[in-house]
Amino acid sequence: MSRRIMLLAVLLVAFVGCADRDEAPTPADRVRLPEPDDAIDEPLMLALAVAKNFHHEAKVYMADGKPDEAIAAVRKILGVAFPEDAPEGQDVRADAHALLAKLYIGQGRLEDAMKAAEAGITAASRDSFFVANLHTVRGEVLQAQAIALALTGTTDEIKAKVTAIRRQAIEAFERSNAIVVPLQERLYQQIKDERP
Amino acid sequence: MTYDPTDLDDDLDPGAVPGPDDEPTAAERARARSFAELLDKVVAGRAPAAMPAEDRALIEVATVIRAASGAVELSAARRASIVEEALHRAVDKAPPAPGNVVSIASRRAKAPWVIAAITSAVAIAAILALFLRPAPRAAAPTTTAAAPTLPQHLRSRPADPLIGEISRARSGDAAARIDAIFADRLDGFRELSFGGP
Repeated sequence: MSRRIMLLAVLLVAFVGCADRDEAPTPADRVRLPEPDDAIDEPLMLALAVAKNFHHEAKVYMADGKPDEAIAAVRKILGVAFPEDAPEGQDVRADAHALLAKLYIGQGRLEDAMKAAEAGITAASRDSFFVANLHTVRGEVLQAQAIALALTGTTDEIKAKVTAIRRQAIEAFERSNAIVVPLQERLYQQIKDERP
Repeated sequence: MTYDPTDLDDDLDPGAVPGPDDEPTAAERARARSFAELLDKVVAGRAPAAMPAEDRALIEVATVIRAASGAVELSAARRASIVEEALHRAVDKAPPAPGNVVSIASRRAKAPWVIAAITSAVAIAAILALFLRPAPRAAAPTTTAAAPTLPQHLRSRPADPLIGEISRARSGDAAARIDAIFADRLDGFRELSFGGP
């Protein structure tokens, strides 16, 4: 009798222990589904907020007639750490480069303006309205360089250089248009496709 | 107690009764020795099958005296038999045959071993169950499914559709553009985090 009881007890414990139990999902698992990596998250919002504040800081300095401080504020935007591969980060940096170039133009620092515009173009990994704007700003820098050079003399050599620079400016504006037109068409098409 | 030399109550010694200070005779010593040996045998449970009536009477008296002093113990089997019989009487059952009596003492002796065996077996089974239990299945699809595709307005994305073409007149108005981007993404972030704008 005692052997039977012992055997039953062993079998019962073995069945209970070896039972194939499902891992029931916890309430926390059920409540919140995992999000894709490209979901708008706190780091992105934080970076955008910081960049926004630097832009407004620069705007205040510009209104106060303090271009150097404005330039310093805009340069800080370039150091803001956006989440890796966040498209907004590229757009914001491109816009900051364009603004920086324009601030340099206003100060007559055309070389720095050209460097800022070209740095923004080089850093871009895709075409966008912001990159197109950079090409436009680069064209403006070239225009300013042509004007500045034209003011230095009227020799044929200078004229030839001025003409060459103006041609480059035209090419920059055309490059900007070359980006904008297909981008606009793609966006229009996208809007059409999304309409019911 | 007075001594009466004329009292001849000893059938084995028809002679005169010796005085209290007299030396025991050889016959008395021999009788005392043989009775002592007989008493030892009875106490040891090796009583002879036959003995003189005089000796039997003396042995019975000696046994009664010894039992009265509390020095006598029943054998374990005998004790068990008496207890079982008393228990059966208590529950109004006929006493079992002596051969069929199961000793409670023997059961008591086995009980700790049975309990130890059962608990050991349960412990071993629990350990085996712990190690041999199959790995948990993959979690439910609702919890580990690939991340669902979020609506476009909740994802990090290029700001081109929001900003549109940047005219030369507004080329330097980066502050206004980042305001628009921030406001738009904030709506999506609020919807994701709090379930609504």
